[in-house]
Amino acid sequence: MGRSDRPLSDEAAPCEAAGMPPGPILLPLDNPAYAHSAVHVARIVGAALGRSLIVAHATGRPLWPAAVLARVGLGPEEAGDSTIVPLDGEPAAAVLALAARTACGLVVMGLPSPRGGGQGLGAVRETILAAAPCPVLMVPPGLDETWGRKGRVLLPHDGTPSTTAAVPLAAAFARALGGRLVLLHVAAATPAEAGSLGVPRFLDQPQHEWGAWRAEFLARCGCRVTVSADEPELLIGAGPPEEAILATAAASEPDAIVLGWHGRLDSDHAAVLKAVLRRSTWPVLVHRVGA
Amino acid sequence: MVESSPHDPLPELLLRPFAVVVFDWDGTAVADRRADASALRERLLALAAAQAVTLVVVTGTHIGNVLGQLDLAAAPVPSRRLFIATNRGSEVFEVGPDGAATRIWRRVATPDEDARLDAAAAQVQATLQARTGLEVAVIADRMNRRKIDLIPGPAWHDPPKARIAELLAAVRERFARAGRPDGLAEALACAREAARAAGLPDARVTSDVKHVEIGLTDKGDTMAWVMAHLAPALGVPAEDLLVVGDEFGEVAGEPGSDALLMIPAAGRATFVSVGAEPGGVPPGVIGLPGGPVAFLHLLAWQAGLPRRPTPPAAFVPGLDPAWTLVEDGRLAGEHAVETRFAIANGRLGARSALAAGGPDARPATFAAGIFGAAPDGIQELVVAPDWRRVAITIDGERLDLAAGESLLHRRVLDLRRGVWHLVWRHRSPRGRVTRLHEVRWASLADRRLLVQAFWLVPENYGGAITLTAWLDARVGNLSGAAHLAPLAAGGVPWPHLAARVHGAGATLALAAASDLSGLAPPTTEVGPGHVAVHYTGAPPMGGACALVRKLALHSSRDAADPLAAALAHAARLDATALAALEADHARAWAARWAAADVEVDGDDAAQHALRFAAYHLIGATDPADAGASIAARGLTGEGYRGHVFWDTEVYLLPFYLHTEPAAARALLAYRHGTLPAARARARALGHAGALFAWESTDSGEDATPTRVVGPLGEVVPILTGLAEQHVSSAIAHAVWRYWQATADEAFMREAGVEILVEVARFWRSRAERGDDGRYHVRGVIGPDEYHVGVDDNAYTNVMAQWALERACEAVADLAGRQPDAWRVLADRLAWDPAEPAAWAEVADRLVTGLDPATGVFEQFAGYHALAAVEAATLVPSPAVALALDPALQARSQAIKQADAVMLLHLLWERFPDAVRRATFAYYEPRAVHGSSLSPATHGLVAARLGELELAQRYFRLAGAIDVDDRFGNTAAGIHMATQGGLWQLAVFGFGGAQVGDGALALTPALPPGWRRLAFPFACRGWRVRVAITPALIAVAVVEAGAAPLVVTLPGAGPRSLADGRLQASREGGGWRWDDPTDR
Repeated sequence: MGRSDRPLSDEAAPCEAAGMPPGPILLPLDNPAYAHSAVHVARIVGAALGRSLIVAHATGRPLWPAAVLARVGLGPEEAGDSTIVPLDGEPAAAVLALAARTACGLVVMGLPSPRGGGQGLGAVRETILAAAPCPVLMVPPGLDETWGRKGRVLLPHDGTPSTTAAVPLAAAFARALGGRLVLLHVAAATPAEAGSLGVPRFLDQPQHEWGAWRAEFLARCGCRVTVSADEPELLIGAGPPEEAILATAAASEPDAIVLGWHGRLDSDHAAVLKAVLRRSTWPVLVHRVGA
Repeated sequence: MVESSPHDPLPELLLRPFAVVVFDWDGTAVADRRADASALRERLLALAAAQAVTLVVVTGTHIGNVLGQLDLAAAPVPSRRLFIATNRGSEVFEVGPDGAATRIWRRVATPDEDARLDAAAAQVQATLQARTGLEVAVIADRMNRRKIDLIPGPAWHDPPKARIAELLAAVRERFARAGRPDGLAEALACAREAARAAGLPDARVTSDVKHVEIGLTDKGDTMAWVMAHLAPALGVPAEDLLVVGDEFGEVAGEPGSDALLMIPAAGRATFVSVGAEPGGVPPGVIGLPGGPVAFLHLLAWQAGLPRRPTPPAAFVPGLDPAWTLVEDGRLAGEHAVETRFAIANGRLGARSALAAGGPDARPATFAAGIFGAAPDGIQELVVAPDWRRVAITIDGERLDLAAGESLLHRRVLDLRRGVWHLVWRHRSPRGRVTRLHEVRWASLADRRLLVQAFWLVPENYGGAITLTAWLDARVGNLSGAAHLAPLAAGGVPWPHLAARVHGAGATLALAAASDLSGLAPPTTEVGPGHVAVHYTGAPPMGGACALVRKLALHSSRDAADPLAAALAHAARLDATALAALEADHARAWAARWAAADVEVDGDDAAQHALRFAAYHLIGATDPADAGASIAARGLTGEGYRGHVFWDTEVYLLPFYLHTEPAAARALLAYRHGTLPAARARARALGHAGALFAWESTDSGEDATPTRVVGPLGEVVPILTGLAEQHVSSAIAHAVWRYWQATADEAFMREAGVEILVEVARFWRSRAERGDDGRYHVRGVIGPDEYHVGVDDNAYTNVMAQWALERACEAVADLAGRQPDAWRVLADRLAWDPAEPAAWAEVADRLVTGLDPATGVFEQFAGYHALAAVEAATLVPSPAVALALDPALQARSQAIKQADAVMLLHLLWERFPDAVRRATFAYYEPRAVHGSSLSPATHGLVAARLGELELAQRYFRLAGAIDVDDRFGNTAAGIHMATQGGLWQLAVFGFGGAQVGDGALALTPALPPGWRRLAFPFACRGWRVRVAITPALIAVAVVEAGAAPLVVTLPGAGPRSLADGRLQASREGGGWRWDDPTDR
């Protein structure tokens, strides 16, 4: 039993309350090579969140829905009850316009593979990611049928209040998938952002300090969405953040990694986000915070 | 009656009551410094006393001039009503009811700033003289500023303000004759340039026509103090401030000096000029010409206006930054704030969670020595019933920090008086503005008394107000334990409850008495384990109501029937006014501060850190309680579960020993009381004597957890409980230290010698004789703690050696001087006369690890062969990287904290200087300071070795650990050992105080920037006050002891304190007594 004046609640904070607009899930598809995983994930998430699914494809010319599906390598059974929307014009702009028009709650995009060797996300994805009016779930290819049943969602947390702002959505997303939120704090110098909490500089007696620090970190950074039995798990990583995140993901096999993001991808910004997106074999939910 | 004036009626903007009046002195309040101020005095006192208006005098002159002119000796000023800001914004004084002024704020130039001011003034002088050939003089004896006199000479020595036009003409003429008709403007420009060139880009350059001044402060700093400190303490918004001067408009092309009062933070204040203002008043200032006569008229009008209530003085927090801790608003890190602002009196302690609670609150009250078993079986300090939760509702709308808007939310901990304050102005979602002042304290005069009081004003509404105050035993610890089982609860006349600690049998009881103002008699609601007391009232708009709660918390540690004791206590409290309780509490704190306050001139941050440290140290003990000791986090948090470590004897006890010896005795008596458990522990491990607990609670049984879930989720075995056996030597050392400093023979006879004997017996049996014929102590953990299960840890062995030697000495002393007492003790201890010889043999032949060739102790056998520390590869920092990697800890020479260096500190006199220097030089770079215990100890040894800049860096690091929550773990409680270490670094390190046999040795060395260090010091029945500057040492007797005490200084022979005061001056590298007579 934790002790505070905090009212206890076993109810999950719904994704809407955590910053996800209440609209449908938008799934822009462009390449058959990685459409299947994205569709699979989008359908599971849609069911979990109770959202309809819009499959969009930039065709350049009017096509029947069946032809759209064929171009992205999907059969009608895979599309299920999704709405199929062909898009005209420049793909990123068209997707963003559709996202705005439908007030979509989540954009799901497939990720190319391989993404190493310095190859980025591609201009279209970067543009959509940067300007989407909602969280974006980036889905790598090759996910199997067990996806969505891992029971955990991993949120790397640097101890800043702005990352704490991503906790409610991550927790709600985990709860929607029937899983638990796992926070990963990578030991680093305490960020300059006011109110940040890093690993303790002093550990007089580890048998006392680690427990106290975990409690404090969860109180300050685990946010107030979950308490008691639903309290997030907290792991600590070491080394370069992207390596620690991917290593922890490899060890814990989450359904998704949630990354809080300040909204800039250019030059030196979002180095960890870009590195994780390049290398992750787990879906990455990118949630803009503190922009 | 308000006499008529050319200004009748006053402008409408001035026909409202102001809560604070800030006014210029010379030219505004008085015509000049010789003017009769009796009429002014009467007006000011009437406003301050009858109208509760707070007055702030702003003057460039010194305090004596204003006090002399006001002549307040026969006219008491109410507390917190009159402030005098002097020296161009560099100082603020508070005038007390006795008419005496106490400085409460000061800006002190650093030596570097003083040098820059001198350089700038000299440059202006040289430039002006070169350009004009005129003599200009530099006046350098003013605080934080230099004046360049543009017209020196008797004719214009001290011109009154009334002659300013003549003065201006004279200055202009003087410079015009020298070919510089714009000389005044030129002098100002020259001063600005010189200040910039001297490295003072923010210097304040002003002129009163006669002088050009370069300063670090001006009137704007006074106004900044008003807005940052005074107005929030009073709960007064800027629009309730009236600011009056006589020089807002331009003078010689420059803004008038009073325009400096118009700082942005005071933008909503009302500004009035009573000056002639030949150039007119600037926008935003109301012109009311007439000088002091107009000012008196303005005051008279204010005296005739109806007033809003103002908080009683008890609800106004202290204003001296050196004596207060301030927190505005709420941020992440609320738990750390609750820790830092905790109140405690050694018997009871309470975190400063807000009364309204909320999701960020981690409230907890602790009663010293009350432990219970956590779910994992480990004993922990029990969270006692909650008494501070009070919910305020206004017409059913809860006063809630999370709803509406906080116009002001300031928490102040008054370190001097030991009082926690909240000043809160809140606008509800319905627009209702409520002003609330709350105070709390844990009485230092009555250590089972907790006080909480509210003073509340509905500012823009009238309505039904309810304050619901709880006594609540439905609390739990962070471990998950809900320790308390309700026993009883009841309502009026004294709401109360009692609860028993599960398993332990201890009982806690709480009873409350209350005083009400503007509230109806309460109703109570009693439920299982809690009592809710509802106080209701309906104050009119602008009317005040108040609730004072006086809570008695008793335990079965101090009463057979705690509930009966608490109820009887509440009955007594019912008949005692808040003012009387507060006065007793304040007197108790004043007495403790008189015995403990370390003063530092020249380093405000250091001064504040030392006050913060002493505040929490004073609150951690009750000298009358020999059954409890100080937990690692005191009574301020659940960290370390309330366990007692060697920290108490090594880091904390010296503070008490030299400021309140009775508290030191109580701490050692606690250890003596745990001897049975310590003996049992030694026996369980196959040894003789006593092995004290590494983590001790009430019984003295070891309470160290045996495993922990590590940072990476792994289960890590904890071996400190078994292997950190040096704790016994630390206790023996503390006993000896106490004996040296007090000559308390009764303590030694009753407890001290027994502890020394049992510790010696332990080490005699613990040491193993090796094939080399030497004794070894194998498989231990030294203070370092990164290296586990090592052999012959130098610290452990040398301390054991020392403990064996002292035991021999103590037994011989007692047997020789008090043979009867020794025989009684010897019988009880089953004494074997052969023991001293056996102890001596072990001590003589114990491996110490000292290499005589290098003068370096090897920390343990094999240490030198470990890998060197590669700090650059350890990210994000060596301490964090090592904390995450136990294998790296083991294979590296990196050490967590002072180990061999701790040896130097504790047994300084035992080692030659070469060993001290070589050992410190070797280990200091290898210490990564992964423990909060480390910086102060390294700083202390660095200071003694004369490495003052290094020592100062450690001082700053240690001082910031809790004050700034620098490392993110203050939430769990104050690092008590750090605070004790900081005091030792100041007094033993920079002050160089050491107690020998009948002597106080002082070898001071002040760090850079410290102009003066002064501290009280208790020693062998004497109480003295030591004051040290770079050039002088003074030792004044506060209270003489019965036995002689001498003071020694480097280079000067011992001197007796019999004459009440000693003084010495620096001479070369040593000191020379100022009185040449040898005594």
